[in-house]
Amino acid sequence: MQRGSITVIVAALAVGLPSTTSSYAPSGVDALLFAAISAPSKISYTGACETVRIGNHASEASVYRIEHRAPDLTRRTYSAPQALAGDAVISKGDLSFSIDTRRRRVVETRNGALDDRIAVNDNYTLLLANYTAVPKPDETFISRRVAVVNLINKYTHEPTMLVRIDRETKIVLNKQEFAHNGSLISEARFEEVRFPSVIPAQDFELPKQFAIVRSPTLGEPTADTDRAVRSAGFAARVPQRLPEGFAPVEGDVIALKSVPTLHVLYSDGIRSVSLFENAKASTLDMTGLQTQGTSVSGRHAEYAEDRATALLAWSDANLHYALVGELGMDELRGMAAAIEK
Amino acid sequence: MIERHPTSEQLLEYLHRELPAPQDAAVHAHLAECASCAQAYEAEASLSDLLRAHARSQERELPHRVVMAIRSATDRPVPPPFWESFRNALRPMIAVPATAAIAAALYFGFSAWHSAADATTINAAEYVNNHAALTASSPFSEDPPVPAVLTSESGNATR
Repeated sequence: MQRGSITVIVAALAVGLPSTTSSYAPSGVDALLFAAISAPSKISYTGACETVRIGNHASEASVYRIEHRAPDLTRRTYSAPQALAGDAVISKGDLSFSIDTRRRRVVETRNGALDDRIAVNDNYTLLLANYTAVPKPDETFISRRVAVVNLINKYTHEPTMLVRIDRETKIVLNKQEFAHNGSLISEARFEEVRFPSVIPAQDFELPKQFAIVRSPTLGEPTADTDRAVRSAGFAARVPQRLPEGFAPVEGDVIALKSVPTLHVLYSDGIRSVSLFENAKASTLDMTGLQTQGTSVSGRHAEYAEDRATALLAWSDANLHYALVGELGMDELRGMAAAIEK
Repeated sequence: MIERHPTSEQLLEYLHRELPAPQDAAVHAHLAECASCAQAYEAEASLSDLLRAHARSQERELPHRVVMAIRSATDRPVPPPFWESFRNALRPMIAVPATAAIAAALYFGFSAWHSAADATTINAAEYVNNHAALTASSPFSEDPPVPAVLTSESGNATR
């Protein structure tokens, strides 16, 4: 599916998605999903959370306290893993401040994608286009009444995500993501949650005695992926065929170790995959990852997994490519082969 | 024109006409187009001239007896060995394919060395981190359980 198709879907949805999600009014279970996506911008909450991402070779988990003040101020204070105990991340809009207690510093990161409402809308449109939201009977979760919604992929008919949405506030209290064979890939859940009327501003203050280190800006993408491809500075090539339901949603030309690299993000609304491509002689350091050799259109390729994220890297005569995302090796190889043709 | 800049050793060999013909031609073409290499070449050439001039100024006459001994040795006719005559007879048959083989080896060796020497190493984690950054706009997306910025060796986002 190409970008134009997203526009068609938007038109087909009759209302057309506006530049901000607040005035969009879908109905039924779609409305519930939309309310859940929009809820953090309206509802403040505090709680304790657990998250886990499960890979074939390695997994990671964390436990943190969360304080969120609507619309966009959030503090996560980690108690596990041990290496992060006491560390915190405070985010406001597209800015994040990672409080590194061990190094006694705050790393400031800007991620343009966090504030990209157009991309959020496009992704939501793709979600509706590619997944059927199937409501299940309400449940009680951490003593609160929740709506349970299963998101079934329209092409594979497999459940890809399950969300438990607080009936009163529409905050997502539990989210599970599944692989195509039904195994759990990731889960995020509240262990307790409160909705205080006031969360004091000082909860979000940065420690004054820590040095602030500015980290390079991440993700200042354009929704015009064709423009990103054209501005790569080399004859970039993109897949002519994508996995079912996927479409390009964002593009960017970034500098990795001063190497101009095209980055295009493809998504089906839940799952996503990034294409990285550069023309300069470069080698990929996959230290720490379990790699396995494979092939792409007869060329040698390396496949690796980083927790639940897969990576496929290969080169042709002129370009170096890497596909990174939540797809299996076969899907990544299929996408890679579509670049060659 | 060759794709990369010649090394200082190659420039020196070019200066002293010690490069094989294909490589010599490649460096020659490169110097015509690359101002920085032409400047480096000129610098090498000036240095060589300077050294030569200095050597000349320090030059001392060899003793007459030594000069005579060298002359008599070099003037004496030496009959060429049998294999030399044989090789001379075969020269066109050997020289043509040998030159082609050397040219090919130089070209491919040059390219391979060029790629390896200029390659920039990109850590796979940089791809994963940048992918994670852009997926922030996905519905129900969330930060990875363990923020990379707090766990990386440098403590900085890797980019």
